[in-house]
This record gives sequence, C-alpha cells and structure tokens, in this order.
Amino acid sequence: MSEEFSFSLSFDDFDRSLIGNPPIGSDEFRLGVAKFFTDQYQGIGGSARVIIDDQERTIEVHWTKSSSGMDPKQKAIELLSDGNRQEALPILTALLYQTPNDPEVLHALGLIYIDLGDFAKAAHLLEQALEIDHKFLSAYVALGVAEILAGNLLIGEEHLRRALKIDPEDHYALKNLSATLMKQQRFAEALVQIKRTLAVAPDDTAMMIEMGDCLNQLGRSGESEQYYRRAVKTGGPEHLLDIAKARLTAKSESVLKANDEVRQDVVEFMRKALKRFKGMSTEDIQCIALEIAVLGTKGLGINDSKKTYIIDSLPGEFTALELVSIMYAAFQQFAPESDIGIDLSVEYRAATRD
Amino acid sequence: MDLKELQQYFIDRVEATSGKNVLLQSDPKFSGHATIRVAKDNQPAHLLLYKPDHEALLPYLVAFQCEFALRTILAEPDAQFNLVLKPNMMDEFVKLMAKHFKNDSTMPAGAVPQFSKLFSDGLGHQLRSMPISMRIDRKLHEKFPELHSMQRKSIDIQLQENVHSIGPYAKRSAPNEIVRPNAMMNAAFAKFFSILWDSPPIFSPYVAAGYAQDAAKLLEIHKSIPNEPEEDRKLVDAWGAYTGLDNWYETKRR
Repeated sequence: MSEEFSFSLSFDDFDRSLIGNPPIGSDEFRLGVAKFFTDQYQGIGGSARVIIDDQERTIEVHWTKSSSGMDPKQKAIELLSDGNRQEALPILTALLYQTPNDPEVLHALGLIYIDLGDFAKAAHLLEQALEIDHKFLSAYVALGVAEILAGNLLIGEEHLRRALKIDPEDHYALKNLSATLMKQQRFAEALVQIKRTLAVAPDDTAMMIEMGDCLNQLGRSGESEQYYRRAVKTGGPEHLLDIAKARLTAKSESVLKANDEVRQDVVEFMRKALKRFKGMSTEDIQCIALEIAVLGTKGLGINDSKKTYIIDSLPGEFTALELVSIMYAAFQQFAPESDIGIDLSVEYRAATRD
Repeated sequence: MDLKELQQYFIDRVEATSGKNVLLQSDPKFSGHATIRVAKDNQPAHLLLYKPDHEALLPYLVAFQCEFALRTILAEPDAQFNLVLKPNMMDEFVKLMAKHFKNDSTMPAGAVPQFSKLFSDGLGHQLRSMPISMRIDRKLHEKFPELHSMQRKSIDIQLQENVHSIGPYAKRSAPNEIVRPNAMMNAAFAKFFSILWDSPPIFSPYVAAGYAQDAAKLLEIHKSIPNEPEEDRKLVDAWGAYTGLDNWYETKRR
C-alpha cells in the first residue's frame, strides 16, 4: 500500500538561505523551492509533488512513498545482496549525493565497484567509509579484497589484518587473508589462517580445498586427501566439488603411477573386462561405464585394495581400482575420446596387445 | 515469539517488576494513540489506554508504553518525576493566546482559556515524553526487529501529525512563542527517525522551515545525557531549557 507524507509551508516560513535568499515569491524563489524539494526526494523511492500556490502563498509537498515501504538504503542493500547491482547502483548513487558521509552507503557502493571490476574506485569509496568509521569491519574486508584484486596483495593483506583486529573470528576476513597468503606462496602462514577459517566456518568447502592445497604445498600431501574428501562430503557449489574431485583423482593417479611403471594389476582387470565385453551390446557396455562413473562421483578410493563394491550391471564384488579399470576399458569401446579423469592408456594398450 | 506473545512479554515485564497488573483498555475518546498510567502506591493496577483506531498496531503500542512505564518504575525513587506547570504559566499562556486571537472572530474570547489549557497540556506532555520516547524507540528498533513494521507505521502517523506544526494552520492556531518550541521538538523527533531509518525526506520539511539547527542541538543534548532512566529528568530539563519551555514548566520529584 502506498502511503503519503504531505505538508505545507507558508512562503514566509521557507528558509530562503537554503536557496540563496531570493525575494519571496519571485521566479527564482519558486524555482529554488521546487529544486530544493526535488533534490531532497530524488532517488528515495516513490514520487514527490511540489505545489507552489501563489494565491495562498504556500508550498505544498506530497510525497508518496514506494509501495514496498522499505527505506531506500535497506532496499539497495537487499538488492545488492540478491545480486541486483544494476538496480542498487542508482539508488546508492542518489543516497550518496544526499548523505555523502554515510559509511554504509560508501561501503555498499564499494562492493558494487568491486563487482564491476573498478577496484580503484571501490578502494576510494571504502577508504572514505573507513575515514568516517574507523571500526567498520566489513569495509576493511572489502577494501582488502579490492586491493588484492587490483594486485596489491600486501596492502590488501594489511586491511584484512586490521579487520581481524576488530573481530578475530570474521569469516570473510580470515578466508580472504588465507587466499592472499596462498597467492603469495606463504604457505606456512596460510595454513594458520585456513585453520582459523575452518574453526569459524567448518562447512566452508572452498577452505577445505584450500587446506588440502596448502598441505600439498607444504609437502604434507598425506594429510591433504582427507580435506578434499570432506569437501566432497560436505557439498557446496558444483564448481568447488569438481575441483575437490579432480584433486582426489589426481592424488589417486599420482599414487597409482608413483613409480612410472605399467600397472600389471590394471592390465589384468582390463583384460578380464574386455573378455566380458565381447558378448555384450554397446548399450550394455555403456550402462556399465555410466554406473561406475556415477559411483565415482561419490569418490572411489583406488588405492584402497581392501574395500569392495557391488554394481548392478556386473555380477561380483570389485575393488575401486578394478572398477576404474573396467570403466576405462568400457569407455574405450564407445567413446575413446572421453577424459575420465585418469590416464590408463598405457595399461589399456598393454591389455589389448595380446 | 509471535507478536501476541511479544506484547504479553512486555506486559509481563511491567507486572513482574512492579508487582501490579496491567489493565489494557480500548478508549474511543482517547486523543492520542496510547498511554499508560503507572499505578500510584494506593492504586491496584496500571492502566494502558489505547485508541481503537490504532488496534492494528497494538503490539508495538503496548511494547512502547510498557517500556515507558518501566523507565519510571525502575528509576530510583529520587529520580522519579512529574512535569508540572509553573505558577505563572496559565496566565501568560492565556494572555498570549488572547493577543493572538484579538482580531479573530472565529475564536470567542470566552473560549481562549479552554483552548489555552488544551495547548498547555499538549506542550507539557510533549516535553515530558518526546525526548524519552526516542530512547525507547531506539531500543525497540535495535532489539525487537519483529516490531519494525508496526513501529514504522505508528511513527509515520505521528510524523504526519507533527509536521503540521510548521504549516500555516499551526501559525493561525497559536502564537509563535507556543508554536516554535512545539516545532523544535517535532524537528528533533523527525531528525532522529530520519537518521534511525536513513530516510532524509522525513526531516526535510523542518530543514525547509529553518529548524535544522534546533533539531541538531536538541539531538546533541539527547546524545550527551546518559540513557539510564535516572537521567530522564535531566534530559527533560535540558530540552526545557533549550526550547524556552522552562519558563512555563518544571520537573518535580514524584
């Protein structure tokens, strides 16, 4: 429901010093009054009407608020958090004009310019916000991010550390500090911050992957697998899960091929599979390959020879390595160009050679 | 908590703190939105009156009035106070009004004292309650987001009512000595909410009418005095001194 806020003022009661002291009732007065109220209400939402009644010598203002009833800053911030930065930008720009010293408006605009890739402008706005409010945690974090994205890693790091002085457990400050330390290849320091991040956000899939990567860089790759597995188990955005799975596959492959030798066990698994495929249609082989591929999305420990799996499309129990070998051989029958994430081409050639 | 439970929560607080019940009563003749009459020692219950027109906002009105009552109940006995008229007040008021309506045929001379009483009650009530109400509203805004929408609606109504104090009708109804302090306090009230809600248009009428500085000064006083109920009397005195209303009103220990 729209609501109206209205009022009237006598010509004599309008503070003319606001519009340069024109004579009351002059054209300059009328224009100045209209501009004054238009500026006040511009960009606020809803609509404003200014009626200047020369006969009654009154100024009437009718402001119909927008139907949402939400104040413009709140509306802009909500739009921003929903990703509608194109809609939030004009509202915030208007608000900045009216309240140039509002740190929240400066911060919100800073976030938009980060998104738009104008890091210098974002940093300028965020610095202004921090001049007004020295303890504005989110502005320090955003400024840190803007500087890092602009390539100023050390400056960005400094702002993030300031944010952490205000709140040592701020998730975004910790997360971005971890990322910048990783970027700077300061892995030992990054490890400390990643651990702190996971302590405040134990479900942060990206940080689990970062933890695994950091451990790899520190030569502690034995410990990294559990973090990739946790990431897959926890779930999250698909691109992150794909990264975690790719890391797991790469790890498995590197263990599998550590000695750069042909794995005879894999060759044997493939030979057996190829024998089975001989009496099968292409569709049946596809079913086997796809069933194993689906199973693989949950993670197959190909270096664990004790654990076995049952699949619907083939009788018996199989180790993960055996399943992956069967899958590789199966894909070679109907889609040899497919990248299944592990290179067993040498073993496949050996299996088909005899 | 839903809004009904929240409303009861505020009533429970007053009852638990004072040991007396709160009676909720709708009164169509009541001129404001709601008020609470805190029970005196010889009275068995507190009476919370509200106008049925504002029933839709009752949880907020009850929350506000109960918080107002709690500030009185929780204040040290020495700090509890009433606002009373100074002996010269009614005489001066009536004289000012009579002078104002001297050539106005719409106001019979006999009606001036009654009209003056109406204005003096309103002005006194505003001085006693407005600076404190802003403290309560800030608290409700910060701690009870469930009430945001009702608070906004209720305050919007008040803001719309208040803004007439700078319009031509107010100037016709009373002399500047009476209209000006009223408008100064309304300006401070509007500025307070324009900041709280980040909604500059609420305050712009008062800027246009030249009250920006007075509003800023009253809010500065408001900010400089601690928020404790014991300081409420000091706050009312300070607003009285700035607006000049201390010539007519004074605070007295309850």
